[in-house]
Amino acid sequence: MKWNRKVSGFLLAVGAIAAFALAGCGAKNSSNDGGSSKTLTIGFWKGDSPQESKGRNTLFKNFTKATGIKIKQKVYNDYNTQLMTDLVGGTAPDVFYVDSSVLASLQTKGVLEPLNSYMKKDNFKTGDFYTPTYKAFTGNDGKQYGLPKDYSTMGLYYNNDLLKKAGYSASDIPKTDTEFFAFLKKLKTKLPGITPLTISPLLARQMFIMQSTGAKIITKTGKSNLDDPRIIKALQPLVDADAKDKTVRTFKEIGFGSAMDAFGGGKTVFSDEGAWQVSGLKTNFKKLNWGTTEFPTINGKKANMIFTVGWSMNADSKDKSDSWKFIKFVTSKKQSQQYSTTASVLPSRKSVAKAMGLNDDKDMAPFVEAANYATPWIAGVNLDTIQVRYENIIPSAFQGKISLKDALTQATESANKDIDKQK
Amino acid sequence: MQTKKKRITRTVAYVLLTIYSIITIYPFLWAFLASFKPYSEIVRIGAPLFSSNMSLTNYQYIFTQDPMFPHWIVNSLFIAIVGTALNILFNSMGGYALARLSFPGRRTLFMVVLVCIMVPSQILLIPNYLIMKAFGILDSYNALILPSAINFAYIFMMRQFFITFPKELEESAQLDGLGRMGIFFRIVVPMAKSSIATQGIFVFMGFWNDFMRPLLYITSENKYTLTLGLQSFQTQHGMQWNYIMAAAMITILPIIFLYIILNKYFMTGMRIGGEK
Amino acid sequence: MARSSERKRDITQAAAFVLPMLLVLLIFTLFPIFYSLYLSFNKVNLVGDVSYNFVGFKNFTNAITDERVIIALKNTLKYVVVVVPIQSILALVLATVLNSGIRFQKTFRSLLFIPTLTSSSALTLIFMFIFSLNGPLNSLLLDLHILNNPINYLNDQGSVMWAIIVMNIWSTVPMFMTIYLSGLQDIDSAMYEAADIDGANMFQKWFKITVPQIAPVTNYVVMMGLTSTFQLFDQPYIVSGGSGGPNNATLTLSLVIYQYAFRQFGTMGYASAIALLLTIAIFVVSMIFRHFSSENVTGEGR
Repeated sequence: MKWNRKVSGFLLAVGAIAAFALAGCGAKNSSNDGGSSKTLTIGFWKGDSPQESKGRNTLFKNFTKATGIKIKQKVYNDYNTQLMTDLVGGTAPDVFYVDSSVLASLQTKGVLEPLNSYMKKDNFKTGDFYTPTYKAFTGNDGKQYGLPKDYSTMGLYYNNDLLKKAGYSASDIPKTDTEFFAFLKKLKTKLPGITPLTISPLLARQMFIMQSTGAKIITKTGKSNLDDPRIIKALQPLVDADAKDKTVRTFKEIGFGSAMDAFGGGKTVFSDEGAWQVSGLKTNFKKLNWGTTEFPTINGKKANMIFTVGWSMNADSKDKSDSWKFIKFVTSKKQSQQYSTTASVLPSRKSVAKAMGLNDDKDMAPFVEAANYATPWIAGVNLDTIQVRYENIIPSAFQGKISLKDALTQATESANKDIDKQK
Repeated sequence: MQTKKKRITRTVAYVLLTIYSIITIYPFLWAFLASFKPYSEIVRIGAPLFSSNMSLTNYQYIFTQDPMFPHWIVNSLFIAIVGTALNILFNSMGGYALARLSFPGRRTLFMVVLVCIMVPSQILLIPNYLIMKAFGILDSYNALILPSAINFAYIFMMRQFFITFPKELEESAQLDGLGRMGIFFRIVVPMAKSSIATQGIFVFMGFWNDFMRPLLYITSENKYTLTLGLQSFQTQHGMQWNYIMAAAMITILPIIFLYIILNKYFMTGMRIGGEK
Repeated sequence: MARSSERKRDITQAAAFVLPMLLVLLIFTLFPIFYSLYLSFNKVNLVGDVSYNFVGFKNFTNAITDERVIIALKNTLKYVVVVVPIQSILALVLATVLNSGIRFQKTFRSLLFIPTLTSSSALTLIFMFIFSLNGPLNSLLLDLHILNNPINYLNDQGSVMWAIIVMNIWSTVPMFMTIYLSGLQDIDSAMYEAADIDGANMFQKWFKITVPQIAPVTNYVVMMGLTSTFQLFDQPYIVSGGSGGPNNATLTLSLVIYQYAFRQFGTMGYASAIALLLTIAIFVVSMIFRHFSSENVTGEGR
């Protein structure tokens, strides 16, 4: 009988706790909306370095100090999926990061708030932003859907010690593509067990190579054009260098989680990465002796990629004037300089770049220089689909399991089928 | 002759079981030991299983660098405990009603329950997502708990149990003036404790180990469950196996402790298969 | 009069018992099934201007001609066809060995059960480590000189699905073994004694007595195996980061549904159609299995 009481008492208690807890959840949610102190939800991804988080946290703190508005952080680990889930589900943040590559797709869906009226009201000047980074957030209707926070270009990272071991120095690095591939072959024979160049098999890292022969990766109607013979021809040398010569490897092929791990671990002479790797190398691989330089020319022309991320406002935000206050605050000269310096990223404002003396910084100068000629990471509304299909199949081409032509043909066909389905 | 043959069979049995036990334990052992080693020793080909550099550094790193980990543990525990409690309550009540109470539509309801056991979760994912959007419970614990507050297989199991339950006990209690609810909680539930423990354990494991639904329904990092947190931890840390293995161990160990404590019920609980 | 009021009270009481179950059943199971049906005949846009446009059977015709759906179907079927028989047979063999009256039965049983307790995300990460280029498996095989060069199992389109298959058999066998074990203990030992008198050997006894007697449990095990393997999602998602790569080698039907529903705008109706097809596939395969297995049982039982 005692046991009976105990069990039934337990069950009742459990039921009560459960009911209470569920009700509590609901209550907590609603109190968040109607509280006395205002809160903005800000969505972002963590980025590549702890410094970036530090810079961002300082931004948030400064904003709360200046305005009294609290910040609720929403971190995206899988941005494309989670932001979409949030937009569909109506749980998206007030202000969030938008990568230039997805701006077109988000803007045409009508989920971003145009900033023009706010900018006009506050007489917000835009001339200080680098034009390509500002234009990246201008929609096809001419309205402005975000303001750039920073940008990045790519560069060639080299390991000084490994070059020296092979009997070279940084000044021996060739300046043209054909010479560079030949140089990789020499390095391979001189440095057994070391990968001459480690790359990431990503569309964002290969797009500028693909377009170097004059073709665009999308057609006029925004569909995938990856199977264009000119694109195949442009990418073939890089793929052959992996599949045939093994002078180029993807970081996964040599068992690393990222190109930075391979480069930092001294397993590769070169790595083609973005400027974001500079701060990562400085903190995680302090002993490494490395430098950066511009990419070799492709078909005689300088080429690179430029990536930019901006702050955009949710069209469904409940507090648009505060959201604008936030965007204005974090893209201001003072805050931008704080953020760019702490996170060691390239600022979207020219005056900030000057104040930081980036052109004289030997690690950063190649990246700033590349901004003059780089290809923006923007290609219509279907870029995500095209990218996913490319990245699904391209590792097999690098491994030599299928020919590049077949890989790109398949990637194109399957992307275009999907694009048709979305119409 | 006969005994010699028996001895051989027995030896073969031991050898087989030992080999399979090693196959089962080996990955865990590797993962467990790796969680104490520095990265450089984990990825060195031919490195020995044990190392002199073993320490708690990886665990320390996780709890300091990823301040969300304790949060995720609490979230998972909360969801699993509340979810399990609701399941035990509702499944037992539903099973009892289907077995003992007379009400119109009982047969139909029982048939519906039987069919629902077969419905795969994939077909429910999208509509449930939209329904929860309409209720405004996406990105909250409710999104994980409410749709799973009952489980058809265990409603069926409880019904099967209550149908064999002697009626006399309830009848005498009824004469003592107890109502149905009273009878259920005071007389019936205590007698069903092993069935309840069984479903409790499985339901708890289901909540604790669920990956797909948290992935879809939860987008705020502070509301992640441990499984989702573990996966996001992996995407952020690439292949830094030392940290990832330590994180994996944090998710595994609580369940193993629970298992050691409740071992008896686990084994009897496995009889559902035989009864069906 | 008294009777009808008693009946009324009975029904109110029953309602209290059934209500929670009924609510969840209606809101989160029955209604969603019909909703899903509705979605699958529509083109659904839920971002910006929400719209449902009736498109007839277009989603279904698209699905059966969609190359990625076909690849996913092939991958899923390969997985089902390999995993279900192996895990069922291996589980029965291990259960038989465990049940052969050895000592330490409990210890072995408890030890072997551990994988069942571990979440698929933790297990997948452990196996990603084991299978990694510099990981324990390569290390072991190189030491034993079975391999000359390490294999990158999870980054190779030829081997990645096999790695997932091995991982899953490994993790599901203990559960089914335990279920088999309790079934085996219910078999009348007199049958084995009679066979001993007839001079039957171990294997004869296993095929003539154990396998047919355990058939109902096998039914259950195979049904459970079929439904769970058809729904494979966690491992391919974690291994491929949600892409189904390399080269679609880990693309399963569940992953395709997920991608169309939650990774891409405007294809939720299409995803619902694929989910409906998957459900039908699971039902059909289980029906076929039920049909054959019931014949089998009665045939051998005689």
